[in-house]
Amino acid sequence: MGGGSAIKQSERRSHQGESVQGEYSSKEIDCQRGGPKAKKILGKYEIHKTGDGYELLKGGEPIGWFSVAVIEDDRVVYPLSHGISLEVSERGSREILISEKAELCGLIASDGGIYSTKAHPHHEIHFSSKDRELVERYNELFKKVYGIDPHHHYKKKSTGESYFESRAYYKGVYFDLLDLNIKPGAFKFRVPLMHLDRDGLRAYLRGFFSGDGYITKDGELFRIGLQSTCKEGLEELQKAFELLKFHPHEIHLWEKEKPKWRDQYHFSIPTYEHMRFIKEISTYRPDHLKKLGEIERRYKSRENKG
Amino acid sequence: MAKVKFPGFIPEIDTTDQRSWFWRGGIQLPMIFVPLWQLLLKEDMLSKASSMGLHDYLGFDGKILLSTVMPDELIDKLRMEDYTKLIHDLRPDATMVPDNYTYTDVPLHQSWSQTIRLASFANDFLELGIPAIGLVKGGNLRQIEWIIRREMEMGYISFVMPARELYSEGSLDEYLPYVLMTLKRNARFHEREFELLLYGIGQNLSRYKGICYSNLSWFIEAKRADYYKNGLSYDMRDPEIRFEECFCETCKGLMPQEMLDLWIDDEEACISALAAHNLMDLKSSLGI
Repeated sequence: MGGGSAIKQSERRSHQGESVQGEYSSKEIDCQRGGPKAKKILGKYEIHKTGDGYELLKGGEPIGWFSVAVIEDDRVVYPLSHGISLEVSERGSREILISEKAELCGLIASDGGIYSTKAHPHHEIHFSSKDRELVERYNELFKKVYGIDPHHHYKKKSTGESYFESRAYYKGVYFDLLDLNIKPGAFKFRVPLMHLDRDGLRAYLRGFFSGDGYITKDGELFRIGLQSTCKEGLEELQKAFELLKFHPHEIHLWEKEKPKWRDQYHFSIPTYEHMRFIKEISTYRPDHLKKLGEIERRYKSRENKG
Repeated sequence: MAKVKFPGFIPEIDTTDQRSWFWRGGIQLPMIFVPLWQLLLKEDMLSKASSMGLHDYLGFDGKILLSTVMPDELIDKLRMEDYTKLIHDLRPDATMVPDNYTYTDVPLHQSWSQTIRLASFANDFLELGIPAIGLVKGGNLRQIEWIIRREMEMGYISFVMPARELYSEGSLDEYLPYVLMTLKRNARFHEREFELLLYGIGQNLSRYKGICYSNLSWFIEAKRADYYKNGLSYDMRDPEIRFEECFCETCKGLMPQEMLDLWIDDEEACISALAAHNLMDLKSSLGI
């Protein structure tokens, strides 16, 4: 199949071929738990500290050299480029998303999109929300991951409803996100579970919840949950919660107000896990933050009374 | 070597996804490309197709051309004996000679050895007894000229140039005029006609005359809910096309909005309908 430029294809298909730059300094980072070590063995992998970096060996054969490494008890993480890190553990190696990129993916999966066609080959990445804070957070994450400032617009729908929108047109970013398969088609999303560690899972859920999460109040009872038209995606979100040891309820179908409307699915998390949700996941949406504050206040007052 | 007689556009199909088997919906086209690599990766499918032959397996009456364009990892694994057995079992009407990899930015040693390997396979494929299609590939113009000369000397007159990567990198215009010139010069020298098909491209490059095209984008884009109009793809929600009726062979007055409605009711049916529309549009935009 190979033709054209090998480097460009490699960059396009697996975001390889670029040196570590940007947000990571060249000095070593050692996790407090692990501390600096001359050698670490994780299953088939060995990590050696050399004079100016870290050498990675598999079965005694050197397979990589990295200037930066985060050494933890059960894994070693090497920051690569574009918000990707290489995680090596006893289970093997995989590419994982840094928290910022995971959150960015969550936001795009909920209220954003990636778009390019022959008629409009602009390789567009967009995100829109009625909350300025959310779009600003998206821009901040985008800048941090890709070093690019997206264009920020204020728009008004024909219905009079106003919203904020952020757009960027970059081929590299488009294909990077396309490779992660976060938006496989119209009205669909996928959770890149294979590329998320625990921090990544939390950040992804924070991003998604900020876009398509809901907090409702039924009498005195608060409900925290996620909704979407994409049932498969929602099932993966449920799985993400389970990986974080939450116990999400089953997925249900919302009752449609108009028969023409698309089916909306949702699930919520149990009340006893609300405080954990606030501490570990939370949101950037102002109206949700207000409600989460109220939940927290009630919980604390209950505790004080207790 | 007999000419394959490429029509202007030959759709590639996805052997793993029956929604791309357009003839089941009543569309009749004379030829299709079947990618060999998809069969190689699905053992059960390969054994079924090998026992039945591609025509019976797919239920397609037209000509089946076997595409050997495949990932580099597979290219390295297959030997001549493997190809002989596969082609004997699958019984296509014509086959490309085995693919190679010739990157423009790796040391020339690799692309030259791959080009020589291609020539060697092209020579071996003469023994297969079915029409074979020469490949036009090279890491630079010299390699392309060399392989065209060798293949023409062997008697090849139908050629396929895998061009997707070059097109997306914007460098196809550097190569294509030279390819056409070399083909014309050698065809004149050997006193025969030739035909060239650009593989992986479905856009009419009107500045080059007499070229045929083949790709799978009509189906890939249908899966992403993209709608073709005059060979360009649009989001189905794009107001430019959303409420415009289409009177192609398959739509018969259907508009994208109705397809969107269908998507909600029956996504599978919508993808099949959209793929059929895209195929018809691509065919007409290429002037076929």
